[in-house]
Amino acid sequence: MSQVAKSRATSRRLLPLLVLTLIAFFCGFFKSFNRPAPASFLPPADVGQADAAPTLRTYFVSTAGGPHRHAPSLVELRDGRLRAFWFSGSREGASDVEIRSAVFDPRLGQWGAETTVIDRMTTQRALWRYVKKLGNPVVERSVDGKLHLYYVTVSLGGWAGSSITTMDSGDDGLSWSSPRRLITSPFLNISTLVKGAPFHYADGTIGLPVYHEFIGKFAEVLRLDTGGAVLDKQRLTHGRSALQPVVLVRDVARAQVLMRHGEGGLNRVMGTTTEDAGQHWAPPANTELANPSAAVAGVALPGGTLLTVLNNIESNRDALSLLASNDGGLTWRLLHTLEDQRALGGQPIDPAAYAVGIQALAQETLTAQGAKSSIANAQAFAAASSKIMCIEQRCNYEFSYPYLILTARGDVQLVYTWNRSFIKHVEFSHAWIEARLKATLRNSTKAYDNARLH
Amino acid sequence: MPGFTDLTGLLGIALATAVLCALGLQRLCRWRYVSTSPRESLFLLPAIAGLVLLGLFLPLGDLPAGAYLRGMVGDLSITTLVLIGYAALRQMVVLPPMSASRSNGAFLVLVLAACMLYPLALGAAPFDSYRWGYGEPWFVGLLLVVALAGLTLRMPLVTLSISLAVLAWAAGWYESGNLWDYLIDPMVAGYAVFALLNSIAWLWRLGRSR
Repeated sequence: MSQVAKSRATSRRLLPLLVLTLIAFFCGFFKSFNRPAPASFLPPADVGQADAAPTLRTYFVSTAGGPHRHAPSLVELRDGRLRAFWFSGSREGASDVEIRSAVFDPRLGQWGAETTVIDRMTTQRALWRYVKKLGNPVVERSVDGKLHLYYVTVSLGGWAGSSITTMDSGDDGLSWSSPRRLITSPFLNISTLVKGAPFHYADGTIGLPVYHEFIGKFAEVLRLDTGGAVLDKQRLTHGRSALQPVVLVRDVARAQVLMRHGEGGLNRVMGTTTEDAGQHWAPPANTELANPSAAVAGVALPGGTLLTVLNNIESNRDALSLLASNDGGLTWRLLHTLEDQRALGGQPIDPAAYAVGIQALAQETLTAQGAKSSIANAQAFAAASSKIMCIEQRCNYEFSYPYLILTARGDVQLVYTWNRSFIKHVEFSHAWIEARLKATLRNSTKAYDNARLH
Repeated sequence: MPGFTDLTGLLGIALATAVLCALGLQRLCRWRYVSTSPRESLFLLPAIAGLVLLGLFLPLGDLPAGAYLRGMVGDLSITTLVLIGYAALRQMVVLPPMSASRSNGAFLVLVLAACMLYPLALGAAPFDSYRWGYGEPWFVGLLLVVALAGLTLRMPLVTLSISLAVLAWAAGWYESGNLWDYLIDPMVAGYAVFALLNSIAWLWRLGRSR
């Protein structure tokens, strides 16, 4: 056969492949050009002037002692009640850890019984793949009214081997769809975790702050549709600098991100900002907020004031505070100290002293909560906390993993891990926040004037 | 009953494992001087692969055995499936062998893609090439250029892998919405690096012996 004939024969053989290529790329370009356009942020709606009294109330989400409880999150239901989620099991990372939930009725000032939302076995059956353990859950309500729960699942290795699983509920958490896995990383889809509260874009898509822990430690934002499909992914930091981002949306274009610092950090919260609804992010930098590399929570108020709850100390997790910023996160001032055991100097204490301390702290909240037989309950709290927080006769206080939301009424709701054995809930009314913002602003102005006079 | 993307994911990993086991077994036989003729291969390979495939769908506790494998490695890229399919058809002498230069060219494309993807995806820089896979039009355009270059340079496996990957992505074949996950996975990237290094070592040894 001549060279020309051979070449023609080869070309004829490749013709079906050329046709397949053209069909494939026609479909590919069609999908590519039909992807959602970038959208602006959906900022918190203004609730107007509050006429209620300034109140701050504290509760325990569940008063039953026993398992390890950690990483709570919160969502407001259609009727104004709150639903909390957290993970609970014999210890963090154990195979018996499950995602649990309870509902708070603000009219009664009472949390209902805790229930299991999902466990490891149900998750792995639904995902059709092995699941070793479950971790942090976060929750949000999308514009179509559905609740979307995102939680960490691990199939391989430790937390660095995590991926995110999601399910949704159309009846405010009474029943849930089958879990689905989000594919967020090309490397075996490992090492994407959630902690920060999701937010919304103006087109109804969902922003999910996530972080990566395998080799690098960095923060990202996923953009999802209401069906749980990942539409885009934006990197906030790189290297090993930061994790657990929280996005505080100030208006349609601007947002402040707060992040727990990664390895080699300066015991400061890391921050970054955007001015174009997340299309570009400023290089991450340390903020003035002290932090011992622990999770932070935050929320933006309709006027642009930012609130954060964090361990505002350089080491340990034995103090927790609420702070505010009126200048987009440049400076922060203390609004309220929620927990403070710094008098112990960060040193572990013996179980007897710890039990007395826990009883006193629990008693305070239980009395405020109006719980009956609170002394017996306080003792049960001490026993449950000691079991988890005392190792070899040395006990530590831990107040960590805060999660903040703003309700439709303008109240700010906080949940956090209380000594890894209970979930504590703090309710700041809109009026209370306004009053504290005014008072602290007056104080800081006075302090500034005094400093200028001297 | 698994959903569509669970079924495609499980099927992909089960098929790949079954064919690799069958190929491995045949290679072991050859190593043990138990040769199989091409005609025997034509029946033996599908038979062994079929048995392994069946085994991977047998329940092991709550899940089919293949689901444990899927939990660890995730869904396999279309490229991996195309290459394993090619290796099986080669073994059965249905397809002709590929020249060393063309197979090395295909591996080089994979290695370059892996270098462009994995270090950035693991946080080496402020930008993330994985993001291009969420339907970036210029990325789809670049792939079209590479696919057409594959046709021109008579590397049909490159063109076939990319085209099927783009088609599968457009159709939502797997649970991933990212085109990169259809193009490459760490297993095929690792194999490409190994094969390319092997070829380089062979050429180096050849050069020295001359």
